[in-house]
Amino acid sequence: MITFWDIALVFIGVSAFFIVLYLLGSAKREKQKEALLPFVSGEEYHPMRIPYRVKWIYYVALFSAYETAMVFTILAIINGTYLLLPIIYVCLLAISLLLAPAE
Amino acid sequence: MLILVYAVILTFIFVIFAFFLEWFERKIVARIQNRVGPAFAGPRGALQPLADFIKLMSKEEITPLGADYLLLTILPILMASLSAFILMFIPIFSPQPILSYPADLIYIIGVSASIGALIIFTGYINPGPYSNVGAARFGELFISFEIPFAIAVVTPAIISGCASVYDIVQFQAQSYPLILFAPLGFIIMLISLIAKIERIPFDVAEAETEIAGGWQVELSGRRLAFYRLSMDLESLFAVALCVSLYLGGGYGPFMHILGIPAYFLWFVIKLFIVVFVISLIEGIMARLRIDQILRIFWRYFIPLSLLQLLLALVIRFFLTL
Repeated sequence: MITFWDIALVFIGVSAFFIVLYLLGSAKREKQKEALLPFVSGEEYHPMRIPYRVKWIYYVALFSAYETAMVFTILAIINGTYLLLPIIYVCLLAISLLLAPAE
Repeated sequence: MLILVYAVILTFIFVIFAFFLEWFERKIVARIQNRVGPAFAGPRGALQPLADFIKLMSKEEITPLGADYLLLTILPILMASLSAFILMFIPIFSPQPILSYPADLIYIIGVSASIGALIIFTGYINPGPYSNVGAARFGELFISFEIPFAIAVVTPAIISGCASVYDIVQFQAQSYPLILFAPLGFIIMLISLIAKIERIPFDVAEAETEIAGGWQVELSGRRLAFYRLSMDLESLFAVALCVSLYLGGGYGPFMHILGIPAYFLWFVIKLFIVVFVISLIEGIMARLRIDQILRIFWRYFIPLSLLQLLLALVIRFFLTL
């Protein structure tokens, strides 16, 4: 039986492997502070804002709701309970998908 | 403590495996496009991904002005660690994976989604415009493909009545591969995973010719090497998950003669078949625009995956009769 500590130990082992691998790479830093500019892409830009629309929040909310629905479904399968509730939830989400604002 | 040693050894093997898979994919795409592909490093260029990794590891690191140095250092290591960590739940080398418990599908969905979130994060902590646009594009792509992907992952769980990759593979060993029960789910999973690993035609977040590499453009040296490695590991994970959930894992004919080596052999054969199909799509298609991708996923694939979910329930109902 796998315990929480087994999972934690595996993650520690995997992370340790990659930390060592990372440290094995060249630690060669920037030759001088001025080398910070320009960006790697070769251009000097100011930080920019990504324009977003309120409509997009609807889609992000739908995404979160669908992911939650999948977790509910899996939990229902594990517990051996009837799948009706998650499926009703998914059907409601399908209706909300039909009502989603078009771009 | 033995599990810690196993984890380190398996991670090393996964890294080598991921490099080999990248070489295979590059070679197939090159053949389709009438190119030679990797040819010089190692036999038939098989060591090219490793040579690329070593070259990047030895290059100078540049931290863009305004970027967070600490986050830029931690994120690639975390992303590579998570990509390798979820592979521990997939039974690749033997029928029993190193980690398995009754609800590991939740873990797999959660960790694979968090890798997507790390990509968006990486794009935003670099202040360059290409990087930010790449992150925004990946964000849009992510909320589109992740739903059909999650539904395609849950479909085998519903049909088999278990929520662990190990149990689903065992269910298929005792009956038939789930691709026969849910072919639509397999197609949805295949297309979603192409988007997940950012291959053509869904590579809008990198799009070399438009945004010069997108979220990766400000990365260099070890950081870029680690992100590339993470993407390779994520590809290996996505394809291995597809093989485990729909193609019966490593089970196939002649299992009783060869035992566990036959399991690994069958798994690798199926893995390479799926990678070949992905490479074929990558080789013959052009990049789709972001609005086309969103339309395809939201308008067609999500409703189709919901239909597959309902079909899975019907199949489950008949299986339990």
